[in-house]
Amino acid sequence: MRANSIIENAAFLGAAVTIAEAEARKILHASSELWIRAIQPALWLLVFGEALSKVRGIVPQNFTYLQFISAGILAQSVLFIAIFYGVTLVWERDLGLLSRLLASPAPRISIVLGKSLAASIRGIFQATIIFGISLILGININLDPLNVAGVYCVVVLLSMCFSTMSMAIASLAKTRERMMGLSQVITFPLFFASNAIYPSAIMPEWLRLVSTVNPLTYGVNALRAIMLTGRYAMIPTDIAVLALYLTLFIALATISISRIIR
Amino acid sequence: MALLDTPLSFRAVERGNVVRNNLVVEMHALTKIYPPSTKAVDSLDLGIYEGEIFGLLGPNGAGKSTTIKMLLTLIPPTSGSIIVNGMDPRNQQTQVRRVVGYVPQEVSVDGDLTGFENLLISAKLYGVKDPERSSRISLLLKQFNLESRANELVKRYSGGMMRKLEIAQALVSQPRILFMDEPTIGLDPVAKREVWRQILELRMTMGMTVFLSTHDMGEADFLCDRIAIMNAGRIVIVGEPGKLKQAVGGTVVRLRLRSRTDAGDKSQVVGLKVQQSIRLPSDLNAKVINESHSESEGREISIAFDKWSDDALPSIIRYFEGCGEEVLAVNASTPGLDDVFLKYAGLRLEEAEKRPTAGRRSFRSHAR
Ligand SMILES: Nc1ncnc2c1ncn2[C@@H]1O[C@H](COP(=O)(O)OP(=O)(O)OP(=O)(O)O)[C@@H](O)[C@H]1O
Ligand SMILES: [Mg+2]
Repeated sequence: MRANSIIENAAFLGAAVTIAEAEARKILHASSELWIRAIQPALWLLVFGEALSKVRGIVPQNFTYLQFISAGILAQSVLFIAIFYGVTLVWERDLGLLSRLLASPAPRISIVLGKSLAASIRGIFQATIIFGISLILGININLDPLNVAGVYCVVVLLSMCFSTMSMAIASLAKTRERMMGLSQVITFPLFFASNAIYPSAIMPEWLRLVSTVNPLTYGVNALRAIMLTGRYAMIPTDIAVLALYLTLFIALATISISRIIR
Repeated sequence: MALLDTPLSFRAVERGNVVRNNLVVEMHALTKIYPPSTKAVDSLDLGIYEGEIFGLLGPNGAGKSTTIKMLLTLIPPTSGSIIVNGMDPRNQQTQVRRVVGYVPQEVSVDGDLTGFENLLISAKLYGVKDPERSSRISLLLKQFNLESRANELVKRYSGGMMRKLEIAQALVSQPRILFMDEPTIGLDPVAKREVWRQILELRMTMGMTVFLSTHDMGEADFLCDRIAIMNAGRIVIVGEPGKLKQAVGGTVVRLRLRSRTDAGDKSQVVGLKVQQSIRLPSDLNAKVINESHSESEGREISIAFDKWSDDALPSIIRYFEGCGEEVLAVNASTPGLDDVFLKYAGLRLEEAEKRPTAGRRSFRSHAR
C-alpha cells in the first residue's frame, strides 16, 4: 500500500515536471518574448519611479522611492505574467490541446502545478531583469546571494499563486475574450489595493482593509523585507499567507481545469 | 507513391484476425444531456470488440464527439454506463486513461513546440521510458514522413502534417484502444492511405482496437470492420460496411445477350431458350431479378449479387458464353456506403426536422 502511494506520488510529480518541461521548451523557442515582457517593469522603474522620486514624503525617510518600488514592480510584473496562464488555458481548450492533455493519465493537479512552475520560470527571469536594472540605475538593493535566493523563492511562490488563481477562474469564462477581460478586471484591483507602489500608511482606511486580504501585499512585504529593509520578522507570516492562498488556488484550479472542457 | 499501388485487398488479409468474442468497450443506455436540454447522446447501446476497427458515422451534431469524450472520461455521462477495457471510467479514470489514446477533432498539437518535442512530451506523460521512448519517437517520425521537419516548430507545419503528427502522438503510448475523432480531416489521398496503413499495421502487430468517427465514406468502407450510423444521438444501424451496402441493394449486373445461332439456322437454337428460366451456378451467389426480350435489342438480364468479388464479372460472362450466348454488353453498378448513409441518416434527419426541437445544422451544410 505504501509503496503504491510512493509510486503514485512520483507519477504525479513526474507529470508536473513534464508539463513544466513543455512550457519551458516553449519559452526557449520564443525567448524574445521574455525580453519584451521585461520592457514593462523597466519602464515602470525608469519613468514612473524616476518621476515620483521627486515627490517627497511618500516613502519612509531613509529610502528613495526607486528603492521602495523595486520590490513592488517585481511583484507587479510577476502578477501580470502569471495572470496570463488562465487565458492560455482557455486558448488551449479552444484548440484540442487541453482535451488531449486531460485524456492522458497525468493527474489534473500535475497539469496545474506544471503550468504554475512554468509561470515561476518567467517570474525568475523578471526578477533577474529587475536586479539588472537596479544595478544599472544604481538603485541600492540587497544583492547578497542569500537575499537573491530568497527573492527567487518568494517570486516562485507568487508566480504559482497568481497563475493558479487565474487557472481557477478560467472555467468561468467561456471565451478567450471574456477571460482576457476577467483577467484585467482582477489584475488592476489586486495591483492598486496593495503596497506595491505606495506604502499602506498613506492608503485610505477601506483600501488598507482590502490590501490585508490581498496576496500581492504579502508578496510585496516579503520581497521588500529581503531586498531592502532587512526586517525579516514578518516573513514567515507572509510566506504562510501566500502558501495558504496557493493551496486554495491549486485546489480550485484542479477542479476548474476538469470542468473547463465540459 | 508506392502506397497508392498497394492493392486494396491487402486489408482483406489483415482483416482475418479479428475474433469477435471479447468486448473492450461497452455502452449501456448511455445518455448525455448538455445543460439545459441538448440531448447529444440518447440511450446508446453499443459494444466494440477487441482488435476491431469501428467507425462512427453520422451528420454534424449527431453526437459522435460527445460519445467519444464520454468514453475517454473527458465528460461525465448524464446516465447510463460505460465499460472500457473492463473498467468503469467513472471511478477508474486514471486506469482508463492509461490504456486509451485520443486524437481530438480539433488541432491538438502544440504549435510552439517542435514535432519531436510534441512526441517527447506525450511519451513522457504516458510514462514511456528511454530507450524505448527514443526508438518509438524516431520510428513514428519515419513512418509518418516527418523526419526532415522533426525539429521545426509545429506552427510552421501544413495542416496535413499536423494531423499526421497528432496521430503519431496518440500512437507513441501504444494504446490498447485508440479513439480518433475524424482522424484524416485535411489529409491528401496519399497521406490518408499512409495513416490507414499505419492503423492497420498497429492493429496487426499490437491487437490495438480503434474507435473512430468519420465523414469520409471511403475511409469507413476501407478501414472499418464495422460501422454504426448515428443520428440525433441515436444509433440508427450497426453492421459491416459490406453487409450494409448489400442491405441497401447488392451489386447489380445488367447483360445484353444474343443466342449464337440466331444469325444462322433459326431452328437450331443452342443458347438459352427464351422462355427457359435461367438457373445460375450457385457459387456465384447471384440471382436474376429482371429479364426482358426484344427482337431488335436481344435479351436483357439483370442479376443481383449477394457477394461481390473481382472475378464475378468474368465468371458470369463465361457462364453465358458457355451456354451459347453472345454477351453484347455488360454494366455493373454497386451501391456505396454513401447510399447506406443517405438511407439511414438521411431518412432519420427528415423525421428529426419535423420535430420542433431539432436545433442542429442540416445534413446539407455538412455535405458541401
Ligand atoms: N459543450 C457543449 N455544450 C452544449 N452543447 C454541446 C456541447 N458540445 C456539443 N454540444 C451539442 O451536442 C450535440 C452533439 O454534438 P457533437 O459534437 O457530439 O456532434 P458530432 O457528431 O461530433 O458532430 P460533428 O460531425 O459536427 O463533429 C450538438 O447538438 C451540439 O450542439
Ligand atoms: Mg465531432
